[in-house]
Amino acid sequence: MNLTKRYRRVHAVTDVSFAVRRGSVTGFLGPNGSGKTTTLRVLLGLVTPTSGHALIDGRRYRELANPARHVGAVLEPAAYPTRAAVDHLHALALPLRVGRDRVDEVLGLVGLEDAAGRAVGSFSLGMRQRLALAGALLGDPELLVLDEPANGLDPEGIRWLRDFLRSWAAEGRTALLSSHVLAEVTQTVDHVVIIDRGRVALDAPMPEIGSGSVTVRTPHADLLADLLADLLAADDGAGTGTGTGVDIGGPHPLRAADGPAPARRVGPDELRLPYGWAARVGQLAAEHRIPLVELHTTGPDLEGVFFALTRGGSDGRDTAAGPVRRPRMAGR
Amino acid sequence: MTTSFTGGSPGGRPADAQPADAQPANAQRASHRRGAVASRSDTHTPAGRPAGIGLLVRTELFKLSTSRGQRAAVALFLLVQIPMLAFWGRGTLPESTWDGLRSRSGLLLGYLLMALGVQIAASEFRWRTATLTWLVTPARHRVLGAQLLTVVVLGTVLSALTFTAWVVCGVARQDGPTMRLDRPGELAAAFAVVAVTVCAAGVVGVSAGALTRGPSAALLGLVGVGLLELIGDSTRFRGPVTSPLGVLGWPTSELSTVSLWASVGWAVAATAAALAALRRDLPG
Repeated sequence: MNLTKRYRRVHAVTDVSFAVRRGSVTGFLGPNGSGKTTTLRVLLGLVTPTSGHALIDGRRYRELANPARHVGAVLEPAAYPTRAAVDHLHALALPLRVGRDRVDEVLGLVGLEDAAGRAVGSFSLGMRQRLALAGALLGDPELLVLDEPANGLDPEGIRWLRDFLRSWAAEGRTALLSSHVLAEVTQTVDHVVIIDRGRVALDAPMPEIGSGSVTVRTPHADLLADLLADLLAADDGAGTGTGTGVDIGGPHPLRAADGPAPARRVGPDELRLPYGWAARVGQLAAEHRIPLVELHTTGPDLEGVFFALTRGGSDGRDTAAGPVRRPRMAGR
Repeated sequence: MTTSFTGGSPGGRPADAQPADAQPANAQRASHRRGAVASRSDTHTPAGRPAGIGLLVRTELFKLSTSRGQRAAVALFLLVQIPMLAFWGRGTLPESTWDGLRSRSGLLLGYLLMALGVQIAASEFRWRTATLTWLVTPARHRVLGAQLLTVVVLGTVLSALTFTAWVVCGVARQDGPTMRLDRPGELAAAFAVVAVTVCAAGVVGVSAGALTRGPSAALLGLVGVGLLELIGDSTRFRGPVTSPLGVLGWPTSELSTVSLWASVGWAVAATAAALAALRRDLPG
């Protein structure tokens, strides 16, 4: 709580406080130099805070019994270059008291079984990231701490990481994931903490940031808006559900965001609708032969929130004073 | 910052929201979980407690054996012993064969172990693996202790090898009494001096590596300190780098007790300094 770390005159983090809930994937976001890595390293006992403390299950990392069996961390793709990948993992497995079988298992899990005997120095950055993740998984931990895990990954690797984190969360496990690549976390995290210049600028669940929207451009925007309003009225009368199959488990899309009217006019030929309406708009336009110039769904506007909160320099100097900026969010 | 596990997952993603292509990985994880639970119950006794110092020493020895540079250095040293045994000191007088025993079995080994100690400790920082090592074993003093014990074990074993080889070589060239086989106490004392000095040199190397956190800085620093020690009359053969030379460079029949105590004292002082410096941060 109230974590502060100062390197000589530079405030790396200032009075940072947030909590990670068990069973959630928390995105820890911020520009380069905002204090993400310092915060994670304090949590893992590698850096001593100037004041405050970081706790896991109410205890400091080094106070946990065999901590690498509770917490797996991917901080940097570190490995001795001439050591084979399997030996690198075995050197970590020995003090953890996990056997060779587990080493082979985690190598398979990250897709490096074919490169197990190769020296790590010959690995690409993406392969090193996978190896780092394999090392974090050795102790079969409940909490994963990942610092910029997508660095060096190609698009396929990023997709693999996203799927991995989703399956991780689906098992009810916990992850704290730092990143400055917003696209990588938007589809993965349940909760977002944004840090800027060493201070927490936002700490909110993803649903509060917004659930995205559908944009429609058509020369007959008025006609389409009227038809959508009729559809809303008919649905209200029939008392039916969402009908689109999109946004499972989410709020009723007709009432989700923009009041009673599903379509909001944002330009002479442009409408904005709640998330999950794309299929119905397409179907309605086809039924009434309305030409559509554009129809697309935008994800949660994490990027907009991020840039609104982190605008300006981020060298961490002289930021000890001044209020913590509070975010302006949808639904608050 | 606090990571609190209060149970429940209000923001949690429902399992049925998984994309289709994530299912195989999910299934794999599930099967892995079952395997992990089984393996934990099989070995539940040791899993909960941190690794003992013996296991950490074994880990350090494993790292050394799987690191090409360090393994090659030890192998090269052992290979070099063969021509040295064959040619060094041939045709010398019996007393010279005995007098050369300590320097031939320990001098090169002492400085090899000093360099190896630097590599063991500093390469962890050079390649950033100290982060992983300290995450698995957050008690940093135990990691440093294991590294120190590793060079002591290596120093003792390699000293025993070279010392035995040179004694056998001396017996073959001269005879048993020349190599004090009839006076085992004297022979044991000569070995003890070699082993202690070699191990002390290794300990200074590990400590220098842990202090500087960089192999190049540590090696250059030790060379610089050694040269400075040689310049001063009061520091020559009494400093951390040249005291092993003061012990092992002298004939076996003489012993510079000041150099011997200095090498042991410097090893203790360097260890204390390295332990005190362990608290330093390991930033990214």
